[in-house]
Amino acid sequence: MSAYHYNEDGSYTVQTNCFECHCKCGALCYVNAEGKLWKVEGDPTDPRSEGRMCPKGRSAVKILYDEHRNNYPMRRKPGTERGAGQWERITWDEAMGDIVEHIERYRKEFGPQSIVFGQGTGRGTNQWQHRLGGINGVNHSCWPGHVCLSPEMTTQFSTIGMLNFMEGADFKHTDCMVMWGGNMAWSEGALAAGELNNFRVKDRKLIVIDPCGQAPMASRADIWIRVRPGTDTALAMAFLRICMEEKLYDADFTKKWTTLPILVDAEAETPITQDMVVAGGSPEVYLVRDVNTGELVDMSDSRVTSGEVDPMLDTPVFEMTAVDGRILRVKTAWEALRGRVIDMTPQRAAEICWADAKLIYEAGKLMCESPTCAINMFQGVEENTNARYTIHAATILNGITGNIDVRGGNCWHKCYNDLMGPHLTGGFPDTHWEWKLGKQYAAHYVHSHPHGVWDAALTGKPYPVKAFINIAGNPISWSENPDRVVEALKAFDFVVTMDYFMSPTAQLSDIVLPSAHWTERDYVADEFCQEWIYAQVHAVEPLYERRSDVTFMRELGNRINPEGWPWKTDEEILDYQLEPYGLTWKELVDKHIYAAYAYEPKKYEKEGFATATGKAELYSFTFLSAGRCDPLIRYEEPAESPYSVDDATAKEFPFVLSTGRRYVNFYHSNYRGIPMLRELAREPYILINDESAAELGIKEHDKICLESPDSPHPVHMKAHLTHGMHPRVIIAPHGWWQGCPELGLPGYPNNSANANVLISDKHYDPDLGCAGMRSSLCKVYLDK
Amino acid sequence: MATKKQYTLLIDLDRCIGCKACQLACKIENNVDLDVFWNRMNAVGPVGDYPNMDYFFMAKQCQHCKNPECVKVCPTKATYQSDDGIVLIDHDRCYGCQYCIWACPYGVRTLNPKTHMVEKCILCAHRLEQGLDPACVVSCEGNCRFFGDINDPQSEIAKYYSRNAERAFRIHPELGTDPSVIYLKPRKGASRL
Repeated sequence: MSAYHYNEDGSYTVQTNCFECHCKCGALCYVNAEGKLWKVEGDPTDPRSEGRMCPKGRSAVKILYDEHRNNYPMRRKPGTERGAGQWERITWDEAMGDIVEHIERYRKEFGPQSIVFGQGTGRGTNQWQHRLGGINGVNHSCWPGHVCLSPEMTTQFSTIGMLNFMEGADFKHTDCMVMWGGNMAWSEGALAAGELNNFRVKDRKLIVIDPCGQAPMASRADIWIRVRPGTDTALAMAFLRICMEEKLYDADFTKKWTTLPILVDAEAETPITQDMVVAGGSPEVYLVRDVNTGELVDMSDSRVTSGEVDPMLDTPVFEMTAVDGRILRVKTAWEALRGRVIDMTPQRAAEICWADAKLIYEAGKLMCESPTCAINMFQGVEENTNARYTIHAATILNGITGNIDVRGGNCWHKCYNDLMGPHLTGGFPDTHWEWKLGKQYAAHYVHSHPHGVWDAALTGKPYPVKAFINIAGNPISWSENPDRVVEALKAFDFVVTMDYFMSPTAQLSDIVLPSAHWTERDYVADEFCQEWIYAQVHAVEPLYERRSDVTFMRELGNRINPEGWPWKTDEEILDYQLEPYGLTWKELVDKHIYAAYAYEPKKYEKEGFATATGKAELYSFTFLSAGRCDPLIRYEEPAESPYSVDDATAKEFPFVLSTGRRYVNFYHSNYRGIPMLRELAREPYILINDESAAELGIKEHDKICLESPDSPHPVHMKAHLTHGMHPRVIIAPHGWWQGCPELGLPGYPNNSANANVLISDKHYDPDLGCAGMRSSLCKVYLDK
Repeated sequence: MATKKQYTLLIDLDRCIGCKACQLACKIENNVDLDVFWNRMNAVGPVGDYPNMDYFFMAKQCQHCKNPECVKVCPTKATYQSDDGIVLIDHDRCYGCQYCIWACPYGVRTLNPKTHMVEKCILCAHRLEQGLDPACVVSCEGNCRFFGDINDPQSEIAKYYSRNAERAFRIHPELGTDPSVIYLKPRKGASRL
């Protein structure tokens, strides 16, 4: 069995995986006898996507051969300004030579920290981009990780040592599917489109939490909670309150496997460690108290997990004598959590969230009482200045309802731990922690915060950054306050962009490199692939002089840091990537799909959680250590909300703005230039409640302007009136820059339709650095 | 005597997620020009007041009527019915008079501005000849489309239809066109349908 199936006439079919998004649906590529790809269909044998394929994947043929693609390495013509659009074609050797020469020079003069590697959402190559930075001394990773993936990954890895939202949500087997802040049927069809419908046959329950009802998931939900953008923490807290007060939690799991039974100071809610109460005790031992004997036991004692010791959860505050004779007032972390959520009644949450108390209560009951419940959270909760609290609260709920790493709950697929592990990323050298930029914007964000990178480019502080090597990224689209990004890009001495199209970022570069499409490249499909890995083999040889992003990264790494990048061919690097699975690239191609971790539930029972303590740190020692220094959760208004700004601002900007709602036919800022995809959504439209629009004199298809408190200029879009949204909420799409000459549709220069212009770069989640892309304020008016 | 074969397209709107894969697969399979659509996915709603709102998706294409108005009005007999019950257009005979566009009650015919001929869904007749289902059927992400001979009680479509007959409807049955495209009403989100 091979990925390639040849026919007698020379035509062939290739079994591979799509990469029009991270979902990586199984794909069958049909190539005719002339070597031309003529059709792409879903692969019915893929256990995840089962043959489903969205419009993006089906358009791969159009994307592969699109005439606006970058095909050759290009260099800005000497003597012309950046952005002037004057290019000369160069060879790959010249391009590589030029890039290496610049990097060597800056490294010598300004240190390795002056080199910034980055990407956008990337094309499944996060680990190699991290490696480029890490091996070079600092993993700046100038990417939109602060609003995508990292918020969930950091929160979940810190607390439970896994990422079990996203691909971990076991929608296939669950009794209750919770879609929170996303419309996965469109954005990740492989993992949800089928399940959504299978549910209706099997009579399982669907809860959708989304400000927008004009979406297939919300419209089909058994319970749709129309939440005010950015207030999801309050909902999660209300669910936790229901779970705790009505005793619907899994006490056995909570006691044995989480940090919630540990003893904490009743007021400060900091841990009571063994050294505080036992002479000669350790400051690293956290204590639980046995219900029956009152004995203080090390949380990590095997008698806790064996059940010999029964740690108390519910307890009134009690007193203990410290070794220094002080009287300590003590409670459990569980009681601390209860204290945080006790006031969050469904009525209180409904007031905060502009939602319905009865529905909140019903949803909470359903999530807790269903035999299994799978929660998936997406960007809707990540792009808020209180994102850590929301994700943390939902992770606690996932834990205490007994849904971590069980079928039908949220599974632990260990590929994700591998992806971010040192084997591939090379780990973080000591210099990384010293040189990391933008520490002031996020305490627990592991890379340089992009705002810190832009600061350094513009001010030279804390040190100058000189080169930006940007692979599959368009920061002018993905970053908050993109006008400042434009200035920052201009402030770099040297910018390289490797991408499919001449994006606004590519236009401001010195060198532009042509990326190979997924139908032209060999790579391993892993993230979002649950327990499987796949050989994403090329259907056709790269056209023109396009190259795989990984080929470029490997060759560049090999030239500048050969000790960390020893591989001479793509096959060698893919062999290295697959080494932990005892597999070579050729073997994977033969198999096409390989179960890297055949699913086993409750792996923590054998190996503990992949956290520092081996427990699910739902009371989090990590989050206690820096940033907000809060080990638990609390409700915090979005930094820019009707209730957190002054009255004059709230009056001038009366709408809550949520940006970045996904299209089924575009991937971020890609593909507005592919005519067949652009036909499905020709222009950028905001969604506004019809009654609110009427008050402002705005009619369907009217041209409108949006402004926010910090926007340097208005954003121009069109209005779509909907009755389904809260009258004070506006939803605006992101990613609009490209024109489509075939349809006579112009581009949108100077960020004129870029939703991120409206997003402030003054407010971030203090723990994770998330910007408020889903919860800002705006005003809207007719574009005269 | 065996019942006559009747190709039928059954669309279960309860399963449609509005992903437009059908619309795009149709264009790619049939090389449909830009600005011409043989198949369109429309969103209906939202109407009502939160949380009791209706919103669903409705894909529409040629209904392949058994009693088609378009065939009656075509002056050149370019539009005709095949033996399997498919309505087709012979482009050697069409000269773009557009009578059929006016006559069709379903608004699913388009004049191609480039060729000046009328186009519409052909149920992927070229695929049917090879024993394959139409592209929109195999591409559907929600698996909401069923295709086959509804007069064959053993066919998947006949079985699915009989299990869900209480939700079945045709568009504008009062016109007597007797479409071969049957819809199944959504279980949720279409209380006003």
